[in-house]
Amino acid sequence: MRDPRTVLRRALLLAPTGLTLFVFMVIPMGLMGWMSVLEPDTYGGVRWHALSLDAYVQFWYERDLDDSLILNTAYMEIFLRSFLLAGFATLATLVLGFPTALYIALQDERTRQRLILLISIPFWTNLLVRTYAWMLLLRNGGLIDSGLGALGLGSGALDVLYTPTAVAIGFVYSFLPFMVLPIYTSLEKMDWRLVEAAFDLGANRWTALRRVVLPMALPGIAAGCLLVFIPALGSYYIPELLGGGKSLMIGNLIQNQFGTARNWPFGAALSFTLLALVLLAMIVYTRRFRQAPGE
Amino acid sequence: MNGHAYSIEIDQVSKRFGHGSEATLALDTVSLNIRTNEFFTLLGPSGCGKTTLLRMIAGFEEPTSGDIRLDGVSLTGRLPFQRPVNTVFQSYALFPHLTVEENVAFGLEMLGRDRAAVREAVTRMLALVKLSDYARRRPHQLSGGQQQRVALARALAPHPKVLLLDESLSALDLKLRKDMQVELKRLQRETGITFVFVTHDQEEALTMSDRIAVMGGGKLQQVGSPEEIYDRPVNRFVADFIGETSFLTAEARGSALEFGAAGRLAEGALGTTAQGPVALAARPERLRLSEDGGLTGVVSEVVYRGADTLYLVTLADGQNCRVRHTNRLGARERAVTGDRVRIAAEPGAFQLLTGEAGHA
Amino acid sequence: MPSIENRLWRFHGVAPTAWLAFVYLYLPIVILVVLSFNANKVATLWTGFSFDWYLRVLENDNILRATRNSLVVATGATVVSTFFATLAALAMASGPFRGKGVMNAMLGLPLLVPEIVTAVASLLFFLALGLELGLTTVLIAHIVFCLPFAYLPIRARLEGLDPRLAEAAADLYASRWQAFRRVTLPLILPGVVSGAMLAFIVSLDDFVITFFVAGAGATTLPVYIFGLIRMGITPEVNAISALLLMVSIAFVVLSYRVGRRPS
Repeated sequence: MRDPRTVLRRALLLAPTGLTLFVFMVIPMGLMGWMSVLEPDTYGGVRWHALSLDAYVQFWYERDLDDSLILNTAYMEIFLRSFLLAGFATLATLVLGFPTALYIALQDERTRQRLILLISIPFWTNLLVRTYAWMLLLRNGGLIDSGLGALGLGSGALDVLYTPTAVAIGFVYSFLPFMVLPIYTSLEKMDWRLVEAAFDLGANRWTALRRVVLPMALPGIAAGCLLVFIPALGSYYIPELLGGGKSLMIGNLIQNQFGTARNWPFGAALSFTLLALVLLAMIVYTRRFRQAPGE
Repeated sequence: MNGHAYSIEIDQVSKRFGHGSEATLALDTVSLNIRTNEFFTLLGPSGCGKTTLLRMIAGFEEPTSGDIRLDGVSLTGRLPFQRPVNTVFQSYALFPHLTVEENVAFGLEMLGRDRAAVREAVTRMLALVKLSDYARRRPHQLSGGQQQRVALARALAPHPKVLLLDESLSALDLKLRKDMQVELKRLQRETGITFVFVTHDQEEALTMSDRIAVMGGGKLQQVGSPEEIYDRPVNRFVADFIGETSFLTAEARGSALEFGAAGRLAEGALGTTAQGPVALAARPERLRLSEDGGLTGVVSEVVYRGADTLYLVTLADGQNCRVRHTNRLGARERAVTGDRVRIAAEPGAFQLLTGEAGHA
Repeated sequence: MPSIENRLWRFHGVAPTAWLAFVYLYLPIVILVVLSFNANKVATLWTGFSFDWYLRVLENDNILRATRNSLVVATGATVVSTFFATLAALAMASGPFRGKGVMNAMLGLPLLVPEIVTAVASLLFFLALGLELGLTTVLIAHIVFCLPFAYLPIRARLEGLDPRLAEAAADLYASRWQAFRRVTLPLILPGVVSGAMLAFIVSLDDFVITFFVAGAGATTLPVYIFGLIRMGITPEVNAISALLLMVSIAFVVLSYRVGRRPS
């Protein structure tokens, strides 16, 4: 067990992956944290020796002409909107995803495999393209619009594309598999005889579901919520395409700092804050359920 | 034949797992010698250290202290693939991606034997375990018994000096197990290889072995022939683990055993000449219900078991004792619950247990 | 085992919700694919069947160049990440050791951290090093986020592997290398292939990170499509999107087939 050759072999096997992740993932994130407390250079970039908390101050306050700080709610609104949209997406995918996972779990083995593949295909296929498909559906004169018109229900223009509603629809669509798969995994491992025991002890279907199935699916539900909420919160192109390119969510705001705004420290600070929030959620989850959310 | 009487010598071997306060002693200074071409069985309950010992002979574990020798040469530091020892695993561990013949050929190929020799050996081995028709099958297409025979053929093919069998029959159903027991004995005779067999099944051990080592709590309890182990268990552990036993205490006086209020047994019921308070073990079939018996008691339960009937008797001094009678056609029960009975013993029926005092 | 056939297990509203979910997931995909065969120039108005837009895509030099970039990056990232991940999985499967938790956490990072954060961090890192943004930086970034995707199926395969098999090989005189070559590798191969395929799809599909770390000359297909979409909805975009979608779907189905193959 403590054989030095075993230790060496293990180190050599782990080195390529470990070093790659450390150098190109961990160090960049540290660097990002550092750059968030530097002063921005005029045309992008940073002044390496000029420490400054401006990026974090900028989030809350605006500097007036006379250098006094005025409370600025614009960025907070974006954060709030991001949280609301991501929260809504989480809730909606849960409402849609839990019954779906339960339905799959109740099928026979072969059907289950097939349905899971059917859920997994969107999980792995190009999100950008799938988002684009919604543009086809939602835009004025698009399929839903003309469909409603043909039924005599439309009033001409649907006016959904390029609104937060479109973003919400896109989120639910994009992240639904992220909710279904972990819930299904926890239901699949479940001992259904326990539910039979609940029936036997006089529970009706609803009570059995609420008192037995739901508590046991909880780790899956929590993992699903995390897997939906986190990418939704940091989403960039779904609000960009369906929300109409306005600085609607954190992702767009961050991208903007490296595009037109050219304020790297502010972009780094926003990313770093997002990272901190995510890691916090991770820690809470791991403490509570004692396993990684992907498992 | 080599010059050594012993194939395997286990010399003061201990094995500790874990470190510091979490360490457990799986094997505690065990010494035993296994003779060449012997069918030797390590018998004991789970967790007694028998599998650990087997894995150390195979080379999967190293002893914490002590030495294991094969034909007089120490095996310490030799890796599993450097030892002329092969294992039949409990779960068989057949390679699922290889056919039956590829499985059997594996060891010989690793030893670098030429193609023709491998082919010849594989054919011979498959004939030996009667699986010639299954050469091209995959393991998952075989029944449990067939998989077991492939595992045997695979381990025997390189003609090891020692064959290790780890609970190899426990996964089979009763009938197959009986067949395989006979088969294993035949293979051992025909190949002339030393077999070391690990099992928790005492009946299996008694039927197949030349000698048995009973292990318990990481310690060697007793080594001997099946008769020795069954008839002359040296301590309570061995007597309790193998067969049915009544444990009694008595006073040895001269050649008689005195059981207080229950009476006394005269003349040689005890095999030895010990005196004073003694702890005793007796097999139920060495005792009988008899009018002229020296012990008195009341039958507390009668258990009919087909071939025989077991009588549980509470002796007059409060100790419990089991008596067994073979059933004959048409014969009635000898007693019913509540009957007052007398018990007699064969000469030497009582075995003195060492390491224990009698009544205080 | 419960079964939907059994009345006892029919929870109200579960089946309709599930079917709604499936329709919701697949309707946009189906519509996109159907419209990509539309003869009409107005992208969402059906007038007749046509392959024209696909032909037009195949003649578009920019698209072909972006496709070539995507394939080069995906192939490179797949080969490197699968090789690294296989080595790591072998080490991670060998019992507990110090640093295992750290390694697990690092492997989880690319999966859990929002893409935009990884993208920003990578961009700043490359710029701080003074590296020129291009195919190299894209390739490095892709290797990093492909690692966990390649790793997980291999790890799962190793987890299901009976440790006695390696012992049996050693017992039968196979050296460590021979045991790996002849027993372990063939048995984990489906996991390796499955992992490689997932890495390939993930790389091929990535947009956000590539968008940040690709220089002007390193446009990949998703980045190019994003540019087209921002300019407007056209039948050409439908066709190229449908193509990308179908390639992904084919890969996922194939990867599942291979990965689920019984040992």
